[in-house]
Amino acid sequence: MRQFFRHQIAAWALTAALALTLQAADGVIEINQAIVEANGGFPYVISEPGSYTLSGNLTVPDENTNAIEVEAPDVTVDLNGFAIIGPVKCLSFNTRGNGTVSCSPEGTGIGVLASSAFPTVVRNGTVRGMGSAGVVITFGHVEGVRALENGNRGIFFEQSGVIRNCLVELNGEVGIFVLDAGAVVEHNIARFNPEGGIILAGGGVVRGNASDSIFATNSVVLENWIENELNLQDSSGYAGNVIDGVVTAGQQSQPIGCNLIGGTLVCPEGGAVQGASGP
Amino acid sequence: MKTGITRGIALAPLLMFVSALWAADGVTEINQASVEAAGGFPYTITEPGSYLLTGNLTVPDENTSAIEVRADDVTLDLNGFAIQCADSDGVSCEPSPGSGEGVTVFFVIGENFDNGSNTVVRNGTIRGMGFAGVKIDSGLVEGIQALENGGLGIVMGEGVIADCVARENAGTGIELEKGVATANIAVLNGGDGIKVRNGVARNNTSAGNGGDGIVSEGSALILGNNVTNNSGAGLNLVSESGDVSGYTDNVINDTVTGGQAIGCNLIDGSQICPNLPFNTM
Repeated sequence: MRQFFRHQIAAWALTAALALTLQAADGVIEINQAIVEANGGFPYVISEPGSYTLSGNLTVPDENTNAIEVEAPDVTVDLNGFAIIGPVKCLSFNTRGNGTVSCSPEGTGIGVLASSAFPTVVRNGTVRGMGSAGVVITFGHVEGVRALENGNRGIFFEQSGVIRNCLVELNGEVGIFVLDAGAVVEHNIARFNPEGGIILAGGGVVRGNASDSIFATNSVVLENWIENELNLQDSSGYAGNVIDGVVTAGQQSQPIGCNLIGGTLVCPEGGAVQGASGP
Repeated sequence: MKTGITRGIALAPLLMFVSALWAADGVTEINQASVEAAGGFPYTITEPGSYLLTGNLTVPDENTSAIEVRADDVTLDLNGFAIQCADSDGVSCEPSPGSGEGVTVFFVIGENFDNGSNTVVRNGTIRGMGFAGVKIDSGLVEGIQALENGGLGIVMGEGVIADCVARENAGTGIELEKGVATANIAVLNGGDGIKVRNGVARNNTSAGNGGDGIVSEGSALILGNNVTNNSGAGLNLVSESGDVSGYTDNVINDTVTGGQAIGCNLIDGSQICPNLPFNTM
């Protein structure tokens, strides 16, 4: 009987290894909890360029542990509908950006960290409850990612890139934060992030988002729906936004077309067309 | 050789088992068999997470909903498949009014509503439901084709509706309370094409609908849309509550009612531009 079990165990191990090898043979490298643990535990370090896909959820053991660290350029991490999960829970007090969000336990863990190489692509899944941030990359593309209840930031670009079709909610500080110039932030939903739904500190294009607030420097802000505040600094332009709250604009920031602010249509002097009449 | 084949056959169930384990971990697969195994329609989602159709879902009548979401933070990827209505003989349900919905957030009027926010629905078709194709509280709907439903095509409280098609629904094609509706097509619906109460409608096409092309009863900006051959107005921006909407860069082969032009529009072949500025900052 003991020999039978040995054979069974060996067969299962062989089968699992074979299956993993087969899956990896198409050039896409799979990541799941078992593979991470077989490789020595978290963080799972990506040191070669290529495509990586989750084939199961990843759950980190504590708030100070990173899940995936990318140390190579040209890496795509497809979360494949799965989740990277940490222990942090966030509670919202009051409502919609005017309140506070309390997250605990505090920590340093990040879901996907790519701060030493670029470009990086992260797509299609959830990063929830990390001690620090959901996704931190230097430069690249984040698409279809749900970043929820992370200790400070949902998605953070240390330089710039494209963030599209993401849903960032109830993170401890900021939903989407891009540090340098050259960002495109489009079709995202950012709610209940107390220090800002979307922040572009360097500059870029913010278009077609639904967000509690947008803070932008040297940017073009177009056609967003904003619940609370549009805050613009340096040379920023904005048009076509529906803003239920207020606009705070520095001296060099100007409307470049009409906006609907607090229920009032507000259009710039020297608007798009002069002198013609119409409805 | 025979030995190799035999070993391969012997390994097949094991590989299938390993594969099933992966499917069961984190992403929940939904298909007709799994729905029936779970007790039939509606398939109820009670946990946050990712859900993936691996086959078409067919509800038996116009009063049956397909998928009911009772949890926050649910992503439902239709994976290119369809949610549809057909009788036991496989004959498609007529697009007749009923209560069935393709993807719906559980909602009881008058009760507190705590579950069902942040829903993402993407990438597939919902056809012939008794009432709405998609009806959710908040989140993102993208790449959905809502066709021939007995009531509404796609309805959402707050969020983004992008790259969707609403066609031949009995009522309104796309309805959004707050947020952004972008790059959608609403054609041949019995009611209005697109309704956005508070937000932005940009780069949509709305044509041949039985009601108005694009409607806002609140505060909205209507930007860069193509609006053609609707039975009602092209743009209906009349607000009984006194809210104001603006519009610009649209091509409208219909009439415009209410609202304020905030830039040029091409209306029935005439370029019409407003006197600007007003309410300058």
